[in-house]
Amino acid sequence: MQGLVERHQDYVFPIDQSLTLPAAMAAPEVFNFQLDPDAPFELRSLAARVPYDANGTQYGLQHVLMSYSDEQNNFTSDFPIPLFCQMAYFGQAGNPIPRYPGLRYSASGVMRIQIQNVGPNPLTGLQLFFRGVKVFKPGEITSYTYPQKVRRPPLSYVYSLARPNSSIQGLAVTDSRLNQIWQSDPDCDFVVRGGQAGIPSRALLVNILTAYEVFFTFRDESGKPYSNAPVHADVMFGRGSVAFQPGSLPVYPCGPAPTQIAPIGPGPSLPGLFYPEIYVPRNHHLIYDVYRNDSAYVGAQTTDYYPVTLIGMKVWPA
Amino acid sequence: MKTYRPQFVRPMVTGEEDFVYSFSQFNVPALAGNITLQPGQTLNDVVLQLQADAPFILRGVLITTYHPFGFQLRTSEGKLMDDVALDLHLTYQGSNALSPYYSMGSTPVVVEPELPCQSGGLLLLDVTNLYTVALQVASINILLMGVKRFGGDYARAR
Repeated sequence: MQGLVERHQDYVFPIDQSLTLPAAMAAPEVFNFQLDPDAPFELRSLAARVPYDANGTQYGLQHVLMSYSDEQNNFTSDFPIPLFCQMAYFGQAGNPIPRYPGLRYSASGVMRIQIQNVGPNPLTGLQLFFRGVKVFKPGEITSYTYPQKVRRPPLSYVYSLARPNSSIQGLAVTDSRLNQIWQSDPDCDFVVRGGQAGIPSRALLVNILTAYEVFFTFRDESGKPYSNAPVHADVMFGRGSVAFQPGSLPVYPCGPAPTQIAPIGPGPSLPGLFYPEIYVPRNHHLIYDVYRNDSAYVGAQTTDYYPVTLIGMKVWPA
Repeated sequence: MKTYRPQFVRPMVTGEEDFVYSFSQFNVPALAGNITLQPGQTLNDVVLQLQADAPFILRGVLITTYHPFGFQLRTSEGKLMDDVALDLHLTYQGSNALSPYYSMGSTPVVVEPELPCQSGGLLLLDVTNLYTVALQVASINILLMGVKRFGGDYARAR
């Protein structure tokens, strides 16, 4: 889309974990999902998840069938397709499954979504993540990019999101931190291209997933969000396994039994990429909200250390 | 008449050859087996010495260890490549969930843009113990992947 400004956007449906699907549904339930009125949207990738259960798995997700439509009500399949057939590891670990070519929706466009739970148990908390770009006319929004000249070669760099402590400190079992400020070093711009988050290794890990339901909303410096609702850390970032703790990656249910499968591929070597990348000029801000709600988990505790990294590049304007 | 042709035709103009630097207790004194870090302690400025025959273009990093160390790299010009000593599973761990202890052979963490290092230069590594008990640094293996960029007469001779 030459001459237009693309801006990273995650649409979350539904916006919270309140959706409950009955067991063994005979037919799919159809939802209308209206997009934001400020700009057209091009859908480029998808992910799905349900809250972790007490065993740290997402049991039941393997039984969900889904299809979605463009705004002319043309569905992408003749019948809902199992999520595990549409996306490896349900598009989590920061790697939503790509959709190419992208599917375009006008501003305030409506997507129709068919969801069917064919499993033996009801399922609560299913969320679908539609990742893509909002498209603006030049000048319609503030949009930063690279300077004409740079003072020295750009440098690959990894920032900690929560500075100066290198992690989000003292995240309570039920917690929300709104309007947190992140800023790059004052001498350089920073291009955010990806990230990783989760699993503290500073403390002894009795329970491998010490924080289950952690969500992020990113905003630009004017407060305009990059998503319509908080996005789970596993969808937004992903993470590697903790070396001294085998099996510390999230696992994903496959098959009716199900078999829990560990992902191969994600981690800091293959992080999910923010596309388009987010350019943060020096002395400017990136704002983020953090939410945690682990009240449903027996024994959940305040994490002393929840690390999040921003992977990208430093740029020194001339 | 030419009777042999190599399977892969090497570009004649680049003068670049794949190269991997490997650093561990066996070639870095600071990572020797008897060195122990207390919880929270940092071992600063571990020297990763590069060879002097050609500049090295760093394009990927892969660090393995089975202890929870944090790492921070510094370029040969002294510029930090990481904000702080960050957990390995968020920074330089390769991708291989089936063998989390050792991700050797798996995908390295891409350095983008590539980092030119002068011939005979060095990278510096800070290692921090992020665990709650003392740890030995001998388990650390560091791979620096990239190319050597030969130039001038040396490139033509090759």
